[in-house]
Amino acid sequence: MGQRNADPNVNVKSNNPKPPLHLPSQPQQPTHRLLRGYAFDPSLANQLETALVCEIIYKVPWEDLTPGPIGEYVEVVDYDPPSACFYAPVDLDHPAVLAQNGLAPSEGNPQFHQQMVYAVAMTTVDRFERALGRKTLWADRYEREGNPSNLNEFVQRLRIYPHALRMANAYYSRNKASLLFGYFPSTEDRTSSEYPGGIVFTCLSHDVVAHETTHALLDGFHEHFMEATNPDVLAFHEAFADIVALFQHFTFPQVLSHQIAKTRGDLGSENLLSQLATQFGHARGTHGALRDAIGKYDPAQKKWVKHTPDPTELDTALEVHSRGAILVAAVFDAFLSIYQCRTRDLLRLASGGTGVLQQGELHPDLVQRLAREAAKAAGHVLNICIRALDYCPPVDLTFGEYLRALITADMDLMPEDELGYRVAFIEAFRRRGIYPLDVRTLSEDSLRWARPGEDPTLEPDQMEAVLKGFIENIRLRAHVDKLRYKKSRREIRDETRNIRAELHDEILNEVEKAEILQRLTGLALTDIEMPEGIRVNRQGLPTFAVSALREARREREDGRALNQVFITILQKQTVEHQDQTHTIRSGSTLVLDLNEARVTYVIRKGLRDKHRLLRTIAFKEDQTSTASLSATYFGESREPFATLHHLGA
Amino acid sequence: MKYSKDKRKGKGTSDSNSSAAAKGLDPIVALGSPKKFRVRVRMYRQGLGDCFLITFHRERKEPFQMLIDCGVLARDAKFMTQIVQHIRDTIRDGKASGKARLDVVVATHEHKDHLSGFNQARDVFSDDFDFGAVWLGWTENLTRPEIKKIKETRKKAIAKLQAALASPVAAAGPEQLDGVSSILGFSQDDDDTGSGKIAEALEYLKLRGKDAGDLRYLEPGTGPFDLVDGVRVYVLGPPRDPILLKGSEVTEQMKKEGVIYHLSRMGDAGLDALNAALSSAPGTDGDRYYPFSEEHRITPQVPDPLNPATLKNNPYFAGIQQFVSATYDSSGQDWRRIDHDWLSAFGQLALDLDSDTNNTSLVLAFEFEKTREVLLFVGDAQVGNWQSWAKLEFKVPGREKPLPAHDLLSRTVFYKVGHHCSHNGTLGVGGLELMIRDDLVAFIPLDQATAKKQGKKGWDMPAAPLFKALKAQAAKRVVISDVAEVIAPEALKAGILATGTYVDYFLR
Repeated sequence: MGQRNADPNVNVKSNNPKPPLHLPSQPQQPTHRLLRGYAFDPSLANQLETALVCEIIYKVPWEDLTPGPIGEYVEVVDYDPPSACFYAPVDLDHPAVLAQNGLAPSEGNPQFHQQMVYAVAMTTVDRFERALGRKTLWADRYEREGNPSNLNEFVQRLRIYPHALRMANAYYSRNKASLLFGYFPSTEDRTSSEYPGGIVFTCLSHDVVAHETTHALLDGFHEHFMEATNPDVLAFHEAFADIVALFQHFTFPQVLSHQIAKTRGDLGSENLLSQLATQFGHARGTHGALRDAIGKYDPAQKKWVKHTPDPTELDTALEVHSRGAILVAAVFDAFLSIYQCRTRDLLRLASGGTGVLQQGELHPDLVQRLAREAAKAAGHVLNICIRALDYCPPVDLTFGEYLRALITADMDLMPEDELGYRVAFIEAFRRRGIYPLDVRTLSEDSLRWARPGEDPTLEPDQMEAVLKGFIENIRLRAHVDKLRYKKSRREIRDETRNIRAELHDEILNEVEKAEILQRLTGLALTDIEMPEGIRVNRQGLPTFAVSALREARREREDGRALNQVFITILQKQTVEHQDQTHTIRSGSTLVLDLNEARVTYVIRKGLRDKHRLLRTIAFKEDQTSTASLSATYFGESREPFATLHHLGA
Repeated sequence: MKYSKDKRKGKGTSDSNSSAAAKGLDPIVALGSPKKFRVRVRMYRQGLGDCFLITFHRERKEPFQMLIDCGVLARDAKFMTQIVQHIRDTIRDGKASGKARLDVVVATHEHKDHLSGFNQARDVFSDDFDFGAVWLGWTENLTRPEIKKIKETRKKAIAKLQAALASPVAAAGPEQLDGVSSILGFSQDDDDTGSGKIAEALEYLKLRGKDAGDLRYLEPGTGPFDLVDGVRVYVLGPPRDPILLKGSEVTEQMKKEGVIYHLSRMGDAGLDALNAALSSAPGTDGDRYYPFSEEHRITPQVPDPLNPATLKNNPYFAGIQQFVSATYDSSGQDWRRIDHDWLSAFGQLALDLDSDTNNTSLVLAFEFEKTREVLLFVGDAQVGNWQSWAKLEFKVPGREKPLPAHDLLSRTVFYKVGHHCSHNGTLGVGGLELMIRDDLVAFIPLDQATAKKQGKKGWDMPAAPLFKALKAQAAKRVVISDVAEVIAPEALKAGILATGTYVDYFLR
């Protein structure tokens, strides 16, 4: 392989000793690699109105690459099985490529396709890492019936196949730790805006690539979010992938200004930024983007119409994509309110204090300022959405719980909510009928996850001391310190696994404290009051797993450092219900403050929540309305996202 | 008549007049049958497929006989001939000769498991039966150009799918193609069982209908019309709305050209592109479906220019050999190969075809005017068909407001379970949940052993959740035609009688 960064010391041919490296005259490592690409997809280039903004330059964090491209996080392997051929891997370090910000966008050049998927995938990974403040890991190798020795194999790189399928589909395959992108001939309908029968590439659509990459990122983060235990779980996977793709649009400066100028600053009207997979939608003859956060093309009126939020919509929208669209719309609504709030003063300044803009085009300076505010607001919203993942329950997520996670995460980082972000979220979610079932009011304070309550069996004031003792006994600080200085992602992952194993044993050994922990988490960690259906080990103690350990060091708005650790404990239970056995996963995440050595929140999906168990069973039993014909004939699909994406993509 | 001359069909019917009962089938009247009844619904236990003989009592006249479907998967012509002879003997009511009159013959949709008998026992049908009328769904009326187009597209798609299954790629037996051929079995012509061409069975029925002077293509919303005194017929499906019929988007262009059927989610071009991948060499017509022009494609081997019939190593492949060995061909990474994943498109296509044909099912409801009881026969209607009933209304004489189709569901006492009790064959909300009569009886034509043998993992029939819901709604009066099934005593109490050959439901 083209090892261009080969170590000069290993140069066998030369007998002369290597001259010493004069460090001050070495060029600095660049921070970014600039790569040209399509802003949305190639369809923008075919319309005069948008042709000028159809290309943008992706700023991807610099990393050493080999042809493919193959980097630290992804490897692009361009094998096209339906055509039975390879396309030569692009060398992004080639001087001719480096010197002109990558290859020029082109539908007919497979090397550009490789560059495009790499650029978008890495932009998405970067977005994630910046929001979370730590390195991301892909899900370990996953095998349903595989041999146990292969289980938990580390996957360093997500593999990307830009031309894997000859159909209108693209999906994340967990079994293969890969993204598969398809290409297909466009509809022959001549009234669509696409070239009839022309080939459409899903790998050239920013939205499709970002969407699939996010599926992979989310799966690496929460491995049980693909288990449908309520109608929200899979819908969340889709919605979250759309949210990331959508808000990345606001990082395209030219398009942003162009669209702000076009809509005269009103992002709540029809615009490209709120639409997903435009070309894909048109190519399939739907006269509109595949999905749109604020409206859609109405075939009856033959025009774009805006959605009106309907608080009862969630009751009927059970299909994964339509349900996910409700969450996306709610987040986008929150963004719009925030954007309006941030720009109201600008509009007043620009309109002599009335706030009503004059007819005609906006002043370019105003457009730039509005664009900057929109970009900032979008960045904040996306950050809030990604950070909330840390605060989600590990299994059986509902939209309402995601709202709680959003609010809690933001309250931790931004205790003062000067611009009313949280109110915007709560209001937007409420208008779509999204709220948790078990809070007293919809105020910030009740939505915030609960802090550990007092334990009636302990003396007053004891609880905090006991938990503190527990955190000290399990040597959490020492563990986390070890983790902090690991450099490679493999080391981080291996060390995390070791710590998880140690934590598991320490919890087992601290039976007395485990009892408190048991009450706190709602799980079965000791043999006291153990519910039925829990597997026990040789000592008769219930089995459980410390399934995740994440640390987060973030700066609060007041400049103080927030130093948190998230520990997730999972447990499986088999439940008999009307002659059927169900395996139900329960789990809780403890949020610990390392500075203060205390438990800040407990995010619970406990075993003892009978209501939840019954609801899960009822959901599993009643899949009549959602199961597909495919399930009848083929059984459960090995590629859940392939089937999910086939209709809605 | 033309049809009776066709002796090619129905091999194994050397003696078409012999009594079916004599060949090991059960007597034509089950022991303990009531002498008087308003209707008897007889579900034959011929295997995975539908065959229903419905006998309505008429005052001072011969009973009115109606046959809804006559088909089976994976049973031979000899067996089906015996079943049809049994139908004949039942109608003859003990007489040894004379034509058996079927007042109405209904074919719900063009699938083997519903129509094979009309080919397998063609001679018996031609020689021994009189047809009064033939009823088909409006989607079978080939004199209408748009329907002709539907059928032609479907035929093309099936042919392409078959070509795909016969290709070298399929021969390797990739898991993505598992089960595709067994779905195709519903529409496939085959000579092993004498089922012949299913389209031919339909043509035969049309011919018989024309000869009888009563061939009807029924549209939803038709009716009610009188079947016999006191019994009215309502037509609920197949839906007129192309979106519900197909469950996918319909573009302006398609409306203009009258194409209501395109290969849903894929399109003709999509299918051609897929097939091109299986067959065409560079430079041929399929070449335009390749994503890039030829010079971009690097294959390990290329035709030898000196001897075009043989292959030689591609010198340009050597340039990427190292990359390929380190990634795609790396031995520890073989679990990430994607050689056959793209073939799943064919599985989806087969499903689309199956579902689209099922949705053309003719759906009939029979209502007893006095008691308002309803018998519901849905063929293999899928979700789209069921959903269309929500907006369907009938103008009933002597009734001010139009009658919503859902009202019929709420009065259903007998339900022929759709699509052999698969998930999609019965809608929960807006379907089964509306059937609230506490004397509801449900018949499921299904042979579980056959279903289990299909595909790789077997077909999910009966689908457990639906089966459970059915049992909740109809208590123990849910009957599977499977001969291995024991019929619950509760069912027997509710007017159900079973023999090894058939199960009868009586409405007294």
